[in-house]
Amino acid sequence: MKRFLLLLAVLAAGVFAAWPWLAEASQMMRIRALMGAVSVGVFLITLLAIRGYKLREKYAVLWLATAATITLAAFFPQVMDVAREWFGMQYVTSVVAVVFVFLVLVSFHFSIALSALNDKAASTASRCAILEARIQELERRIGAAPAAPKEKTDDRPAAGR
Amino acid sequence: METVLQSFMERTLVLIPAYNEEASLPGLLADVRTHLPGAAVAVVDDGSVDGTAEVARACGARVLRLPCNLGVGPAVQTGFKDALESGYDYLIRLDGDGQHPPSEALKLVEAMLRQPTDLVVGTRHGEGSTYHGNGLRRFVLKGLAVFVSIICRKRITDPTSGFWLVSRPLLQCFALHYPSDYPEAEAIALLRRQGFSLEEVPVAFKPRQGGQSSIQAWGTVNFAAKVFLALFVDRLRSVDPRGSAAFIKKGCPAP
Repeated sequence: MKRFLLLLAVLAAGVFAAWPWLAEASQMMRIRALMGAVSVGVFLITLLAIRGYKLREKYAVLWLATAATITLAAFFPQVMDVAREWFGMQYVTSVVAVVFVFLVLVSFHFSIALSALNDKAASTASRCAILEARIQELERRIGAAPAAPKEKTDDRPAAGR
Repeated sequence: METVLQSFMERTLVLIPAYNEEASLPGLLADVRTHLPGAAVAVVDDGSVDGTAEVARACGARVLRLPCNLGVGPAVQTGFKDALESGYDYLIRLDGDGQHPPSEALKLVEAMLRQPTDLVVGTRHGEGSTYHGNGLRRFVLKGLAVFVSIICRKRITDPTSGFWLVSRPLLQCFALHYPSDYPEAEAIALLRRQGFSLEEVPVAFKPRQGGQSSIQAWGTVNFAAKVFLALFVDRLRSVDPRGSAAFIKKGCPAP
């Protein structure tokens, strides 16, 4: 939470520092600045989540790739034009639609991962229930069995322990 | 015949999946002891918030307690795995709400002894049935029965019945794959695809003795959508050789 607040503070400071420039800049430049800030935010949050063991690298790669694409589009808008020409699209907005489809596919990937986890959790819970029943049965048998003769033991700790 | 039945019961596990069924379990377990003597009883407590596990244990049943509510499919599959690992040859599945009278389970056993098969299903659409579902539910179940009959190439009158007698080879298959939500119809399609056989036997169901049904009024639509989708997708799958009847009956080890 502290780190998140610190990140927000840094972003707010950045916006404050850039305010005079933003006030003078065109609408397109402001949109790009916003996209750049969002992508940097996604980068930082993703890296912090990986660092705190809250996000595994294999899932983080997709988010980092997304953030990298947004950064590229924000700071180097000509890349979008090149992509538009490559794919034969008339407008840059078509590229945005493609990016949206990409994000939907990312969500689909996570739905699949979630389903797999669901199956694994059910399998683990099932195994736990079976093993618990067996332990209780063994405990009952041991409890019902006549007590084994107790061997004389030395309670003192062994030398060097 | 009595010796045959006794020997059968000694190799049988009665499985009762239960979710918040503390009210109906004592009566049901007493009925099981009366009508199915010699059979072991296991209750799978599917993460109940009442005293289901304690009541079942106090009544002398083996209790498999799931740490959280997983739904009827995983709960039943847990019982299948336990029966398989404990070496039982047959499993009788009864619902924890008391709708499946243990006295009627003998009809399933008789059918199995008369003509050995992989699964005997107790159908509520036989003589002496007291089953009366509401209009929409009745319509959906009828449609489902027709659809399942077509894809299984065998007349199935009650594909949602969970009143089952399962043989060991099929337990091996179900330990590998078993559907999760509203599993019965999908499981029947699955077992037919894997090369197993089944028979239906008319039995009398009883009204619920306690608890709540997992399919509420509006849930019929959700039920129909989920089950028809699952059955349709099931047609697109190929046979899993590890769970096929030919592989398992050849004497291959349990998965």
